[in-house]
Amino acid sequence: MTLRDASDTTGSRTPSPRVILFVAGSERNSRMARENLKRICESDLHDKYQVRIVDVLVDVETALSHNVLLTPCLLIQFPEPAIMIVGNLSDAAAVQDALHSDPETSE
Amino acid sequence: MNDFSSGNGIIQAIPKLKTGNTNLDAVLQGGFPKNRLSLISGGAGTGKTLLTLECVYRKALTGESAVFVTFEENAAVLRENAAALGWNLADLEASGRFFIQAVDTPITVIRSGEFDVQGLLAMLDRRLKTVGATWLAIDAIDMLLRIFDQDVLEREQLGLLCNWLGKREVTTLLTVKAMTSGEKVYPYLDFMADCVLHLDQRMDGEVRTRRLRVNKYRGSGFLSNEYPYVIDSRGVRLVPVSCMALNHVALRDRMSSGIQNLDRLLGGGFFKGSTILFSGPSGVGKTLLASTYARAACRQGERVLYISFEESADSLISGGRNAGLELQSLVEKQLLHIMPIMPESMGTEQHLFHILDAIERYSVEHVVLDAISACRRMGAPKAAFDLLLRLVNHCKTQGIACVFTNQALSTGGHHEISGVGLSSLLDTALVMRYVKARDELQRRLLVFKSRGSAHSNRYHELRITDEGIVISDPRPDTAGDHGSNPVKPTEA
Repeated sequence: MTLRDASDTTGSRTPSPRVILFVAGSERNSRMARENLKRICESDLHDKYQVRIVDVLVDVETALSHNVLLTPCLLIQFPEPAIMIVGNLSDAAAVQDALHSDPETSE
Repeated sequence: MNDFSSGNGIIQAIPKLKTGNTNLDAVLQGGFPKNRLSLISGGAGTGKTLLTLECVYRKALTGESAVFVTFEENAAVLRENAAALGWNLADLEASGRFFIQAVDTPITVIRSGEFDVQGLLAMLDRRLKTVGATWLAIDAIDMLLRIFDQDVLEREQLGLLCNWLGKREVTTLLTVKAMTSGEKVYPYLDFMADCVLHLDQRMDGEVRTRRLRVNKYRGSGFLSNEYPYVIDSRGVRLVPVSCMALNHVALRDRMSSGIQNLDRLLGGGFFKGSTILFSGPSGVGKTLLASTYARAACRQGERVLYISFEESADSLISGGRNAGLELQSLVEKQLLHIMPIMPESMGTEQHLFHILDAIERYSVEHVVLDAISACRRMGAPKAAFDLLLRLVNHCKTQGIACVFTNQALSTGGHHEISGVGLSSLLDTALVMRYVKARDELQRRLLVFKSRGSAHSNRYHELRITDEGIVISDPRPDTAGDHGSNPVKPTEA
């Protein structure tokens, strides 16, 4: 798994991944998702993740603006294209794949 | 499934709310169960969304509040579709009593571990509270469910939703796509809902027919047949449920047939608001008799809808004129409304609504159907009978007279005078035939049946003259006509 090239030609580093984790309060799966995401971020030595956490019980409108009704749910806004991962993120490999998928090279 | 539909004490126990659709209320015997979950299932294009939308729309119109959640369409499209039916959702939304929540479900989703519908519940909670909704519609829940991708999970999550709804004072309509055969069905949903409606469409010959049935109604009775419906410019329309002779207006007053001697044969004319049949072979004078009736009614200042399956308005009017019957002025006075229809142009249900709409639009007191024999060209054989039964039923409850003509295939037996098994619905039946008398073909008329009145039981001579239909004076010695041999008319 290689780091993505920057889309521009400046040769600078790829901007760090930007994600939103939608949780439903401290319900079991939501708790697990927070922990799993933390672990995934920490295990990635190259990138510093921009993580935002939205509690749908508190901020319904933000969840709706992203069409999120199932929780927990991780929305990867960057790298593009945006992708949605539902679940408590117990399958770390699936999350890593999604975070580093490169539409240019992957078939 | 309908363990509770038999007449025990439980039937009264369930509070119901009217659906906003009178005919659906009749099928559900009152409406949807209050503060419970009703499920509306059906294939694509069966009108689930429309039926559901109309219900909550009408509720909001009458001052209640509703939230409409859709997983299939965006709000603008929904508003547009509704506007085409004359439903102004935007106004209701502005009033705060109606809220459309459209949710785009992602096409591709990655699954990683367990998840649930907490977000949905949080959204519903917020919307219901903001709007103060007593009604909730969730359209195409299957679009959300498919993300779980496992029957057992879908079932579990639906259970969660149903439980959550059960704790709230909200009447919920949930639609789900279900195929009649194969593919995805949600059998367990039937167990979770209190009331289950199924919509179905199929091809009947070359005509699309749609049917609604109630699969279940917990704690209540319901009408268990399949009910035809159409989707037209007024939304989902169920045909009126036939409940023969329940609210029918009793026949009392008489009206003239327009022919003096015929009135005498009938013992004083036709009963007002009755169901009348003129039956006979081609060319014997059925249409003229019906036109004479229409003219007589119009002369009393009453309005007549004349449905012609056989000829155009012009040809009907000129046919009348040739026999001294002036119809044009009645049309101009808007007392007579001639509506020519091609029987093949649509299915029987559409025909029925077409006719019912015209009855309402012109607020007529009389409907002439010339000829019912043409109804058999609309589709399945039973369909013609259903159409007439429902029409007669509607007219009887409104005190509207129905006059049918029927082209009898033979002049033979009278066991089936209407050709579509309608005999028992008729109040009066006149049978016409040809007889060979002397050297000419003559017409004869018999009052075959006239409910509730003494009437002649003989054949009487009928002549078509320049001044309309003339029936010979009833004389005791016309009994000899019985000896005449009926002959078959020459068919064109």
